[in-house]
Amino acid sequence: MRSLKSRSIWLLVLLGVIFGGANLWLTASRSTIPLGLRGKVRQKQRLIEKTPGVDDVFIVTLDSDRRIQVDGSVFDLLVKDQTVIKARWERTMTIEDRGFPLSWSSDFYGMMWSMPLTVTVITWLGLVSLDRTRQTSDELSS
Amino acid sequence: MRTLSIAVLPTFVVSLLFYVLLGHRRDYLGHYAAGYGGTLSAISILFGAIPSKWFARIAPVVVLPSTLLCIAAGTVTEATVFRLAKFDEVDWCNQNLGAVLAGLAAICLVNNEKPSDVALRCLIATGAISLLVGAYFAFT
Repeated sequence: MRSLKSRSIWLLVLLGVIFGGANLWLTASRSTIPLGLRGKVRQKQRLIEKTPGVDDVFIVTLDSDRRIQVDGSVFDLLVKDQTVIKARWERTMTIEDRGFPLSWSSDFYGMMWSMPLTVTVITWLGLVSLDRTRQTSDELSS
Repeated sequence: MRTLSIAVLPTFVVSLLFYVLLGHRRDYLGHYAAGYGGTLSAISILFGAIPSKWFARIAPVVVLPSTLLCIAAGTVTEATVFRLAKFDEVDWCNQNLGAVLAGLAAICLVNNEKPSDVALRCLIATGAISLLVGAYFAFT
């Protein structure tokens, strides 16, 4: 029983690490800095979410059918039918032979601090749970 | 008191992190709080349904599947009723982080003895309040 409980705790901590890491990656990728891009912009879509102007969703589709969600600042740079070229982790996006600097969003900066700290809280609670499991198990066996 | 502090303190710290560091996106905090509240309430209701004499044996087994079930339920609602523009992966991750923390808080509370009815009611109420706080931040 103790082993099952410990495994459950570790699995929950692992899920916390995965979801925290995914948050970091998703917000980073929307700046397009980690992505490699090459192609013509076929379509730009601005979709309205719960709070218009705050959580709008910006979708760009390239001629290769690749559909990516980008930050508003990247969305504004891109123009339909223009060619975009960008290497992975490069902080400049080339649009029709002109270079445009890219920057991380405030979402990413927020996640960069909040996710490691959230994962720390999750890990701490996991360790407290493991300690209590051990204590409970010791009480039962004594 | 110990039960409540385990249920409230860690999530209070994480909520504060969301509020301070991601204050420009209140919906992120909303999804986190809703995931936490929904999962904590669901597991607490389940704990209440377990007979006292079987609690020590059954409770540790049900926490992980219940948390995963809540994550699945959150995935379905995010993909259907709350899908306004698109399925937002960041919202989904945030609500899952809440569910994971609620699962850990619940498993931390699993002891040899079943929590009292008062403690369980406090947990359900804490979860319900968190769910309401989540709805407030997600939609305002």
